[in-house]
Amino acid sequence: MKVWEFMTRKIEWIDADSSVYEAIERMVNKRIRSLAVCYSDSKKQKGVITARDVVFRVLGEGKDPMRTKIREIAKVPMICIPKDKDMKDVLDIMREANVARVFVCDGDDIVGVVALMDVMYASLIERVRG
Amino acid sequence: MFKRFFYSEKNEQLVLKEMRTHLELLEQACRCFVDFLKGGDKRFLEEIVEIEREGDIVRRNILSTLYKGAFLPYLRPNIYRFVEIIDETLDLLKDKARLCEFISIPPILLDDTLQIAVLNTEMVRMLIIAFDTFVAGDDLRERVLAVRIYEKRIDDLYHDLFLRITKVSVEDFWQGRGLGDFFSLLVKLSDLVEDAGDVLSLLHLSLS
Repeated sequence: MKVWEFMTRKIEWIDADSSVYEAIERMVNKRIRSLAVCYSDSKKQKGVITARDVVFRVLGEGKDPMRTKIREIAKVPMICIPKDKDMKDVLDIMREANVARVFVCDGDDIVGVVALMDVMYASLIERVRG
Repeated sequence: MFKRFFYSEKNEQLVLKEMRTHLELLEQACRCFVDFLKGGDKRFLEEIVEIEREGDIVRRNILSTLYKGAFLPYLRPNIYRFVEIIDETLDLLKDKARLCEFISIPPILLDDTLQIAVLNTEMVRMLIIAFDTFVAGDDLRERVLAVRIYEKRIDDLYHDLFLRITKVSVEDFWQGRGLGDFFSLLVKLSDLVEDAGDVLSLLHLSLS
């Protein structure tokens, strides 16, 4: 099964200069665990911030989320996979990089995201299809 | 046990064959709808209406064969229910096709609409795989779970889509109503297919 068949197309972006608090607010409102990060000073650069980063690198260390900028904790570069790759390749990347979601790219554009649950669903459907 | 009920009698074989045809028609209609969304060719909508009529004939054939005494009486209600659900799904596709003749889907919603339509088609394909597994007498839990996975994905997509629908401006009341009805039908299809999967599970349980 190809990545584009099972990716989630909706991606939430946040500016690297926004505060971590804004990221928390967005994650709570949208019920998601990660945000894609864009950099106004470099259009090509993209990163990611997860709930895990917020908890361990800001809240857990006693930092103020209002005063901490996303660029301080965001992971760059963003881990991506081309949209026509196989779902099995996503699994390899997740295992190697120890991440739970991989972004999907079409050239320079980010077009989707695949989470661990998506891989589980896709594997089951693949098994049934035979 | 399965072999006795499903292969020994001519009427039973006929019902199963027609049920498979009914499902194939549903898949065909779903594919027509995807093709319409991709290219905007309204001939695909007419084809859906034709397929629905054909589906009605198949449904009547199944019911008359059941009336003649195919299957044991305790199995008939769920077989009947399964057939009715597939028929309702075909009706729904026809209504959707009719709506598409006078509404235009806003370009900003087209991509998600297409994705839901593609997932609906895949979901029907999965139901056919489940049906074949059922006829073969094998365990279909995994197949029905796959059907449910598709339903959940469609539900998630619709949730996002719904938030954007409310921001689309429409020309008049009827355009707005048509659009609202269209999107309701779009997701109701997956609910029905999921129900059909559950009835199939019930039938499987009745025989084990």
